[in-house]
Amino acid sequence: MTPVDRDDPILRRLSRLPMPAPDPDRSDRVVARGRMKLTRPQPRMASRRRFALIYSVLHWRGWV
Amino acid sequence: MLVVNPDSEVDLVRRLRGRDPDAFEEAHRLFHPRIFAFLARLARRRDVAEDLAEETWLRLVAHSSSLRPDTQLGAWLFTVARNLYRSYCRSRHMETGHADDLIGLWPFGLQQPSPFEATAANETERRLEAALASLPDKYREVLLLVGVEGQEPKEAAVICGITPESLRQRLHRARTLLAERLEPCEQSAAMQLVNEVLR
Repeated sequence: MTPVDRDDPILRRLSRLPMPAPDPDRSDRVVARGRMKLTRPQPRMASRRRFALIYSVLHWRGWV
Repeated sequence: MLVVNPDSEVDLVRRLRGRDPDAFEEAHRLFHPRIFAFLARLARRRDVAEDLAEETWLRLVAHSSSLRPDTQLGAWLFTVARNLYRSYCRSRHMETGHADDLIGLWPFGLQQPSPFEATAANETERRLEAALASLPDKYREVLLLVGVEGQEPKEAAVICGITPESLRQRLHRARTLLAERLEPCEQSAAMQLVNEVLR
């Protein structure tokens, strides 16, 4: 596959466009939230999956 | 465009799989400005871009343990961001074509050129931004990924969920459309300049 012609005037102009800056306060909040979620211990199994497992066993036994 | 070393990207993914908060912060520092810029130009609204970017990062937190060791983090994040934008459009039945919303979207400066250079550059950039914003989503996203982000067509094709050949065709069409939309603006700007000089 041939590479893109980076000397194309339109692509060159696009590559020089300045990047809009995100809100730094909001970025800090997102990082703090992400960090908090990652450090929190994970549940052994998500409740929906646990429910599906229990329901499938009950269904297999013919109780539901 | 910020280039991330593939080795450090692999290491970052390994640490994210281990739910390392420092790795998350590092990924955020490396990719957030690019993800935000992509979404801001795609959505043409700063508030929507902030919301979608935040959701992208929360998706990374939710899926960090299930990332494959060979995941290309940049491509993964851009794919999630793009898909979130598509879902947003579907949920809002968003209309295309409100380029005027761009005005005031980028309140920042890079370097300090002379006032004349600044005015000329701002005017050129404004015309380019407006022409870009007036394109349909599918053309705008390929120009953003390949033109603004500097990604290779192969990577951009993965993000857009199309084949590299389709991407190449779409890029060609997008580039032609953008040039067509820029031409009348630039001709009238040149005429205005000539008139001012002759006056």
